[in-house]
Amino acid sequence: MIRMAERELHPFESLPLGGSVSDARLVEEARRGDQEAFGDLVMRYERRLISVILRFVRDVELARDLAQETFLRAYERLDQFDPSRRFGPWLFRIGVNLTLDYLRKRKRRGWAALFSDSNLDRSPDPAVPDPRNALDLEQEVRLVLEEIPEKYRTVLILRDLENFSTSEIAAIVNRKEATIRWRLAEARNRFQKLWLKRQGLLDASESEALETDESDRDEL
Amino acid sequence: MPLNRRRLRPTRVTAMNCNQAKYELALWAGNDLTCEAEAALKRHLAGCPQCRELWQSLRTSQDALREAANVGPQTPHSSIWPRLQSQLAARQSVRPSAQPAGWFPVLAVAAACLAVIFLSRGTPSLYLEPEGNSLAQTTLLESGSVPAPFPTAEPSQSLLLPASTVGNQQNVPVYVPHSVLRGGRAPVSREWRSNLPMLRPWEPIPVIPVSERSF
Repeated sequence: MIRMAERELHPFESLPLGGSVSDARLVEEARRGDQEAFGDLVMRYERRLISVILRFVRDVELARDLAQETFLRAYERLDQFDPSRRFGPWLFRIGVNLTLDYLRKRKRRGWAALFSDSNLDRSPDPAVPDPRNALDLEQEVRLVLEEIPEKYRTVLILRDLENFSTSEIAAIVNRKEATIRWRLAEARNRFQKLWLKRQGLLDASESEALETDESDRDEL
Repeated sequence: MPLNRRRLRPTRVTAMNCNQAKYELALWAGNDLTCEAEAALKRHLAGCPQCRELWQSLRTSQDALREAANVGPQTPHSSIWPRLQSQLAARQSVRPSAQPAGWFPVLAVAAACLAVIFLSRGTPSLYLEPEGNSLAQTTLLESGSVPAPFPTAEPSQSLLLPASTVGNQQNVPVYVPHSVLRGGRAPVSREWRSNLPMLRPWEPIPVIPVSERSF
């Protein structure tokens, strides 16, 4: 609960306050060709979208490009959008799918090894007193997350790093909420084992058990 | 009988097992468990040291995730909208000329398919059995011989097989005037083809083009 209070509200929850225009209204106007209305939607969601994409790709410029492509696709598919549903999950579905597609293609081409972002050092923010420990931990977490199969990693990132609710994640990845909960539990258990292993807290027998367990079971 | 009795025995409400607890502990670690499930889980934990150990471990790993979430990626401050807006404008200016080009191949293929379907359906048979020459009486014609003249049928008339194809076990050609040939093939209706069991559906019916006068 404390954790929820610490985080900033995400766009799905940050509904417009009095006087501002709702997403549905902006979408309707954008559908009629009003680019300014679409611009309002972009500015409403871009930071959040880039933040989510950055959890997957790390490179800021790449994340901006992917976000831009996401909005372009959303604009082109506005006529396919069901106005009875929320715009946010629909937009994030496009963005997450686009990002995962990009990563799959990069992995297939073998670029991951050559141009891995893992060596990219982010310059510390001077506003934070001493961010090195936190950055180290964040990089450690990233490395562990990379070892988790995509379908679990995606749910874990969206829930535990980006604080989407399980129902929102269900809408984003287009699965039932029960499936998302199962994947979330599986993802956390896998992360816990890998985290212990990385911290050197797992004994030899447990490490072996973990390695055999790594094969991606395709439940649900 | 013992098997049946076992089946009929009422099921006992069993306590949570460790596999179920493992799933629910993971949800609990991220505050994703209902109150009822949480109470049952606590009861299980009270009597299961292994699950208590797993719980401690899950809390440690969740703490790491929580800290990583709080660090968060550094999102850029500048908006992508200006660049996006110019891209949208560029696309819209291209769209009017690009759209027909995009649809043209699709329309062309659709038109070609329609034409093929129309032609493959064929036209009604143009020939009727001549009077006094019933199908039963007709014998196999020799290849190359011109059959007796057939009166031209109206498209609305019933379809009958030309005499030259009756009992056509050796692919005796059908005599077709030039005027009705299409691409060197006789326009064949489905009914007509069904009378030629020796021909596979994709095989053309052999034809010998003849002049109208031959009929």
